[in-house]
Amino acid sequence: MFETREALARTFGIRDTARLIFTGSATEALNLAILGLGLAEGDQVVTSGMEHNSVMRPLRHLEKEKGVKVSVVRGTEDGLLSPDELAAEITGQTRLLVVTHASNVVGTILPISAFGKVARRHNVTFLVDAAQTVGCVPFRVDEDGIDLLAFSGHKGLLGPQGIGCLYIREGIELAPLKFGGTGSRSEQELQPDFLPDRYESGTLNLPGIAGLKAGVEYLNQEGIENIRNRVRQLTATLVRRLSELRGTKVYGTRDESRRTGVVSFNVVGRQPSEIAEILDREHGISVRAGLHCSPQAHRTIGTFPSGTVRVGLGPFNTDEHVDALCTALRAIAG
Amino acid sequence: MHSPACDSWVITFESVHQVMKAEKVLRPAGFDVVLVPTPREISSECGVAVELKDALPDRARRLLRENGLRPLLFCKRKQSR
Repeated sequence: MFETREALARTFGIRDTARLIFTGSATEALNLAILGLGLAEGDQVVTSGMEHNSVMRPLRHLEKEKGVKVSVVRGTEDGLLSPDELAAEITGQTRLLVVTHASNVVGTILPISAFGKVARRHNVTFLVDAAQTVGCVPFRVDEDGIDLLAFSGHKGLLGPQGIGCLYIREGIELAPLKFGGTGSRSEQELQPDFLPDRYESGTLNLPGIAGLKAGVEYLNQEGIENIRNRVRQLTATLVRRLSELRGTKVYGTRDESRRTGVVSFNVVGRQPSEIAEILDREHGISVRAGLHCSPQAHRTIGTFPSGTVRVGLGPFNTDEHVDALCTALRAIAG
Repeated sequence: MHSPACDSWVITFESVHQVMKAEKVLRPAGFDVVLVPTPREISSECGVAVELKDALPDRARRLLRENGLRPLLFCKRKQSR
């Protein structure tokens, strides 16, 4: 557990490893951050139009139950959003800026470093949902002005499911989501005030944490930058070939430097679920169809409510995989 | 191997995280350390402590401080392990 914390901290430029909290998922990490800030009536939260429900649902909960104002800055159909557009929504009541580092629907990468500067300038807490970019796109919390960073262990970090993390910058106070045994200060019935114990009550997912360590060590050995370049090239090929296919519409930016390995598309006139089923049954290709837990993002790109077919390319995909997918789609769409 | 002349020290910290960090800091620096259940006579914590075999613990103290670690207690242990 200690070594996993150290390895993650090194990877993301976190100096004090005790400020990295293990959770059960990125969703739990986001809930701890969003609900723990003690936002109340009159407070405002600014967020992007590309968020996952793991951000939108806790925000809508605060809106409904506490009267917190939630401002969604839509951005373009490609999922892009400029720092100026975000800054224009910030008022004297804004307490939190929460954005995804990259869309889980179209893979568009948002400029978090510039957003961090906006947040700092307006003295607003900056929370980044990095579920889509950890292990895929290199970044550092100290260089990007991140106050709170939430991520999962089972995606780009190649760990098992059931493990997530929240980094809490020094000076940020959060109320714990859970209270209980920590293996420390056992004579006291009040929750410890030091980290990580303050937020890590109960038995942690040690098999998950051990698996996550193996994943992070593999990534650091391969180099996240190298993996990023490989996946970027593969994604560019896939996007280009899908765009050339008649009857296929690809979503997201064409600027390959601003995309992850996530690609969304539709075959015109066909339901995403139908395409996914054929790809799975007849071609042995796994994709995910529908709204991907992100109705907000699908509204932004104009694919709500039927959604898209989504492909996720990772470090173990090859040109042959891209080729097989394009050949299958030519047969389906043609 | 412990030299019989060496003293034994029990060092406690605020959290298990700090105990593990102390172990990682001290052992590579050549210190003879093991993790032990925190002795009841020192603290009612249910956690673990670092036991250090060293005649002069000042260098260990300094090293811990340099790595941002603040021991709660640094006690001489009567019984050698």
